[in-house]
Amino acid sequence: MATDTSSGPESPSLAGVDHIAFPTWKPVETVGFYRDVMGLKLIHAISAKGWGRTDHPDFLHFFFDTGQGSTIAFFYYVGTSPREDMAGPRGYLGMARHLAWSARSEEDLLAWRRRLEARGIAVSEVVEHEALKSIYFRDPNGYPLEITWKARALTAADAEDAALTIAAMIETFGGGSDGRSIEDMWRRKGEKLRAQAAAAK
Amino acid sequence: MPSLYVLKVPEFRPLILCAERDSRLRTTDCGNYVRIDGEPELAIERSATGMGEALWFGSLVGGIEGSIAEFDDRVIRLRAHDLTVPTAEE
Repeated sequence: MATDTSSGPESPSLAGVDHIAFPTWKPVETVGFYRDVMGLKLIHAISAKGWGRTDHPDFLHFFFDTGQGSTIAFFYYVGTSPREDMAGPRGYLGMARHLAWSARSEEDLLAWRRRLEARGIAVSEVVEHEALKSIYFRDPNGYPLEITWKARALTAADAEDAALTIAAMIETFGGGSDGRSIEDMWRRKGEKLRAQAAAAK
Repeated sequence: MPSLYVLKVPEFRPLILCAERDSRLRTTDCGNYVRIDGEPELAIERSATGMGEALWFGSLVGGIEGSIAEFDDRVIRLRAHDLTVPTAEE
């Protein structure tokens, strides 16, 4: 069963994203997109003759600066066959596994949208989510990308609410969905809040 | 009596404001949430909230009491859970 160990003596914290890496079979288009269309600085590139192993292809590994010390990196494995399925399926499942960068402001988010559109990239309208506004697009490899602006900081109330949602989710779907619906989960959460209110009286 | 819990955060504030303006609905402060009650049903039109679709479809995230009678891009309609709609056989 799920047990929350997010705090305590043996709970080291993470300091953000260092890099995220993807394979590419379109190295030229990839540089064209990240360096020239997005305007990200190319800050590191390594290349190697395999890694001394006969089954490991020769490769390049190159990194673009995505701000706050983090990078996006690509592997180009020379002479290997493209794997079209690496970008995942089209539609919502393909978009579910994605990479989202932070915009510094709402103005910057809009500026990113204008920049991408002006350079011929298919980019979504600005979508307003719970605490975020986002735009969505894909790179030449088909990898789904997002740029998002946090409209507000998350608070303790958000975390308490999340804990209740996840508790209701575990109780509703813990044994598989088995005909149960998101409505059942929302009702379970409602029961918890009713009980909480009664206990507070 | 169906109820909807709305977390007190800016993006869901339109739901609370809408309920406060609607004489058919009652609002009660419940800590991090405002509980909206309706009798016999709870109905909120999206057009009255000004909410975009992505946010609107998360409107029930706070939790509900009752059942969803209707929830599309236009309206949320909750009814008491024990009120069953007669089927054609009955």
